[in-house]
Amino acid sequence: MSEITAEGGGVPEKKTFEHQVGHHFADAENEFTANKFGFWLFLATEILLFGGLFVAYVVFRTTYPMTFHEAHEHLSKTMGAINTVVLICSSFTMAMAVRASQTNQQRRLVWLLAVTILCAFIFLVIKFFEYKAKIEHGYLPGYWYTPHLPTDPANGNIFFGLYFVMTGLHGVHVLGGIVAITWVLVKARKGQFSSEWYTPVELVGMYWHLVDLIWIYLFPLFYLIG
Amino acid sequence: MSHDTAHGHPTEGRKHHPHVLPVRMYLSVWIGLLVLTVITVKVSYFNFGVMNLVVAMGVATLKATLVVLFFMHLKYDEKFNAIIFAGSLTFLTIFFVLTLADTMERGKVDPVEAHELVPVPARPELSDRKTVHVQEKSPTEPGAHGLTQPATGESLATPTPADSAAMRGATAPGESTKAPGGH
Repeated sequence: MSEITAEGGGVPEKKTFEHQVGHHFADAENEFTANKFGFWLFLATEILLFGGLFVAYVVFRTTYPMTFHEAHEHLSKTMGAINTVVLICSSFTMAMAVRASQTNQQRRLVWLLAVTILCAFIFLVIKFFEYKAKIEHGYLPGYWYTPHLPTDPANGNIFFGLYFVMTGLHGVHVLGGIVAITWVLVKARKGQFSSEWYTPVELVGMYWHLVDLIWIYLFPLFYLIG
Repeated sequence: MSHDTAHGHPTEGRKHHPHVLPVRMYLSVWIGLLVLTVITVKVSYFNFGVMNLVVAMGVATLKATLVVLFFMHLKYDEKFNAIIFAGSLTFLTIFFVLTLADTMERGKVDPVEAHELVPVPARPELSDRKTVHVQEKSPTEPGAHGLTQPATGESLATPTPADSAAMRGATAPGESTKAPGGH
């Protein structure tokens, strides 16, 4: 393995790990492209998973436009916008983390991953307070939809049902992202990544960008133009 | 530089050489995404009617394109991966088009089915709001269009002419909301 060009003052002396190319691959490049190909297939299924919910959103929105308009004003644009910025920043730090792994900047890789995880937690904390307010208003979906104020939106269970399911599924993906990025962080601290092999950083990065991508659509659909 | 696999055959051959992109590019995309976020939030305070949706979705798609092409490196990736991504979007489009071709065009052929999906009955106890009540139908009753209504009369319901008559006048309290917990 090539010695580490510690651009960011890495931890080369700790690096004893050497990635073995799977025996079913011709070479490292073959392995990398195959891994990425497989991951794009997975991302395609993710798009279709959320796609079904987006179709449901459009069907109900075109059927109940006034309900959506009335109910969406009960969401905080400010909190949604802050969360959008938080996710975009975390996507940026993740992209920079992938670049750090490509250029053997071990220390920078670790702290960029840590910042990404921090952003993910900030996102979930803000989401928690949003959910808390909605639940206190009795806006949980379906059977649990129990609003108690005259100003509560009529038929809001349709809107808030979609809101909770779609942002909830997205939130689960954020949680999964935290787990995955933490796993990469642990491996990065052990100095397992180098410019020759950084596949987990790259793939988890792609996953994280997809989570950002979904939110890029959820934010305007629920908070801005409901 | 080369290393052997566990099976002992040599892996001379292509090593992976990362395609490192300049930091400047990542910074520009990041700032671009933030600027577009500010734009879409500011724009949402103005009402352009139908254009609200177009503008918001246009900005979102622009942001999504930036993320996919540059953060996810699809611009520099194998073309086949782009085909997979485009393929998922293609099937998503088919999903959208075929579904909406049904739900948005109902009643254009047969006026008998021209009923829109009616709103869920509002809570009758809130007298300051115009409330509608959808009379429940047994699934076997003619005119139910084969749709069985949910027991609580909530969510999707396809009304019959009799329902429409009921909706015009009645605000019957009762089974419309059976949610737990007091109001």
